[in-house]
Amino acid sequence: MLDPLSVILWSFLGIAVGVGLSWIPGFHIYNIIALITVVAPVYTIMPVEAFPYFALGALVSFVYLSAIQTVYMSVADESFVFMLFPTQRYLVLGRGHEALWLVTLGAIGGTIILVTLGLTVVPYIISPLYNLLAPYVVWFLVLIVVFMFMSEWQKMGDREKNPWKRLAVAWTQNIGGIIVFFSAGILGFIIMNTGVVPAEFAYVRLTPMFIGFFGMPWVLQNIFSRIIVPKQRTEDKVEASPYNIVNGTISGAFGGSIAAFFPVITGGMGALVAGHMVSTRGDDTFIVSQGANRILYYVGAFFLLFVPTTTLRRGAGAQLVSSIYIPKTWAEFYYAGGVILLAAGISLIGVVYLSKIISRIITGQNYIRVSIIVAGLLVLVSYLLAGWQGIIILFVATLIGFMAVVFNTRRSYCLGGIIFPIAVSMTGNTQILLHLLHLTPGF
Amino acid sequence: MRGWIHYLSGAAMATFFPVLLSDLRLGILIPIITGVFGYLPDFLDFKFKKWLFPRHVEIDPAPIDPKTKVAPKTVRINELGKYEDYQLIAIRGVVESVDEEVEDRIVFTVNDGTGRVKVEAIREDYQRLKNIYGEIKPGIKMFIPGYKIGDPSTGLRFVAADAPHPQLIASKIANAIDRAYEENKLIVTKVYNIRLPGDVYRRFLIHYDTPNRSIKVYMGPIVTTGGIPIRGTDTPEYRKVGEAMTKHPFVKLYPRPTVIDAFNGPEIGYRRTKLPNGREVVEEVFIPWHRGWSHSFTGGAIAALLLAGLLLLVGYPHWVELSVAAMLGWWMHVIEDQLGFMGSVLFPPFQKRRVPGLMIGPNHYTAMNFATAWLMLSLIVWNINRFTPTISMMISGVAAPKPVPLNDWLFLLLLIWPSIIIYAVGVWDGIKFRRLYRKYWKYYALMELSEDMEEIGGL
Repeated sequence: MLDPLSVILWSFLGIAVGVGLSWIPGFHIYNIIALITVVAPVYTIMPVEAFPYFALGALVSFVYLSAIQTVYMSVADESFVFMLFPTQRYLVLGRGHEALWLVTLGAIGGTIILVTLGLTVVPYIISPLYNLLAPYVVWFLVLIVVFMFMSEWQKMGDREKNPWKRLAVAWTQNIGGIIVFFSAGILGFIIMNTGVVPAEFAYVRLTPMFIGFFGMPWVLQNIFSRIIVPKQRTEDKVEASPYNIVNGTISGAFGGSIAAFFPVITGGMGALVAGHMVSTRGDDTFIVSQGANRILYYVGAFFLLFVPTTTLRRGAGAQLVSSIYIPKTWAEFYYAGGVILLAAGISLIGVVYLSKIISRIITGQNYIRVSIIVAGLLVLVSYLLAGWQGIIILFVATLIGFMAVVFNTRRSYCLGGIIFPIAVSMTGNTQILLHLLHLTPGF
Repeated sequence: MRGWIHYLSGAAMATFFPVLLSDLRLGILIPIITGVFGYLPDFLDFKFKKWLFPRHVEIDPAPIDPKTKVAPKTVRINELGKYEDYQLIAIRGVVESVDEEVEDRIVFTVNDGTGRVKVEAIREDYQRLKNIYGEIKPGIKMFIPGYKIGDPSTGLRFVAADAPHPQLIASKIANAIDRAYEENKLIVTKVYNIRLPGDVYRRFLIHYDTPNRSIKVYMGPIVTTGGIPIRGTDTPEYRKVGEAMTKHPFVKLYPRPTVIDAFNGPEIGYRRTKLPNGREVVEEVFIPWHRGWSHSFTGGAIAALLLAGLLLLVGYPHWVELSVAAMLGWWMHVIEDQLGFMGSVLFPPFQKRRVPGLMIGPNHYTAMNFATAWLMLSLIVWNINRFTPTISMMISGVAAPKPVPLNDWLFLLLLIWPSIIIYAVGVWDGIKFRRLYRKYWKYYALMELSEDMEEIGGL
């Protein structure tokens, strides 16, 4: 087991990687963890016991710092996508820094909730709760997916003069959503069940698909939107009532916890459910909830790896790290709590100052040049992680991801890429579907 | 209640039936239908009925531009006559001449190649133009949002403004009310919202001044989709309020203000109705396509019968339990909605009008929502726990112990106490609100009495 000083040192290294890279558009910390796991074996870089703390430090700082990508580097105009995200709206109004503060406040709240409950209640309730609910996981998962489809607000069609035209236009979006979900599902099914990705890349075979679903369409949207970012105000203050901040934090923490506990359910899906339960309304509340949600979803799920009373592994980060080393002791568990607080503190300082710098740099800019560079980087990462097959998967996934933008539907339908194959597998239908699609089973 | 709460309530109903839980545990997912039934009333209304419901009057204060998908729509000057007075539109052209200029008012002529129009800007609107273009003089190119008044035959002018004038909305609503009274039928008015660049919305409020038979519309600030006003975007006083009188009396029974901002503008129905005192007035029916058959116990029972037939057809062995659970899910939706303000038509065709809601927790919407969600989650957990031995017996022939080894009722109490407390607060809040509501009606009744006396020369 590592001594406390080594824990701090390796955590610092993780934090430095997270702070240094997480603000780059399209970057995801899992790509770095995957690269370390696959391309540069961990034991050549650090003691294997240090890897969980390195990853934890990197993950916490990623959650804090990646808000910069979300706030400053995702641009769109309302003729291109019908509804802007609240953070995009803040950016258009010159309040990007304020939006960043709101995300960060949510993240701070989420961190406090995570560490407080994580170190006290979680080790004792997690096992009975899991035993109680585990047999019904597929039910919960499919329940949430069906609700996503049923509850999507139809954005278009209201101004059509003919009632049937109104109905048809409104439903275009929903049908588009169904197409996106099942296209993504079939792609995910092929990747997970056939040998399309070489066996040596098995650990990270889904990464190019996710880059294609989410990262690449985002970059392409930046290129097509050609929005010029207005001057940003950088005062350290927010316009939000304490009630909204608390409401957003609780909602986000709740949604993130659901996503962290149940397999396959993502932060976005958890947020949808929690937003309805806590009745989140308003841009400020929503943005705060995003910060808390991401902490609980990413860090909370990863933190379960350290809980000595359970063997739960949730999220790609935990899967990758546990393939190298699984923390087992109470001491490692408490160290992890400390690392989360340390990383959150450093990331908080980093995010505020970096936000001020970036908000000045981006004023008056559009993102075409930087977006093209990022697109190139994403292609490179896909190649490194899954060879030329990774680039083909990236291309197909990008088309599907972009389809969600074109249909003005939920981008989270791309999660069909993982939900669909897992639901098929959990209900014992994988072989039937392989046969129907004339596919040969892989590794 | 929010959609997920209804859906969750429907899902919770399945857990009261061990055979359905057993199916779920075996990966047979058909019982998901109970959740679907829990949400179906809103799904039918919002995804189908809303689009197909007839609209008799359309009020579009700010047509959207087909290219930018936001208001104001840029129009040619020779086409200005096609638009209604006070609608927010925009023109783009070159200043030909400045015809009149005093301290806080300017009149100038703009030509866009298709025609020319006199543009008038006063006070804040004049100042805004000066902030953007500096001195307004012949030759400069301008993009001017505003509204037109008059028509080409009688003389048309264009008023610079950043919002439509609320008079358009007030007049059309007053006309719709009179039409509903005179034609004695439901007149549905579609009020479009005002979507502006940056995905923000101009808020406006419709106030029904019942005693004075006046419709007042207040044009408010720009707000985000979350309803947060953006500072410094309020409209100037001189075009903040529009007012129109109706010939016939009207009443608004739904005790919430009609505020229109983000997402879609609402459909508002007006219907002639008889008050308990025999007086005929026009009643506002907010989103008239909502909370009818779909939100009734009758509708739930019929839908469950249809489902039972379908399940029998596909040979699902637990069709009785699933149909009953689905019906309970639908009914839970009806009951939960009945806790609020609007109410529903509970037993059509025996009832034709909405039964007003119980108004529980009017000031604690978020808490009530959460309490219901928590209650349903608790019921799911409680049922799964207490039925675990039965289900494991059904599946494997061996009764597994309960994951939480507590007395069932004690466990239920431990789970649901937060919901009980919140509901108790909600009931108390509802009692206080209803007292206030009664006071309002007393006031209204007095005003109505004065009006009647005035008609017969008593006052």
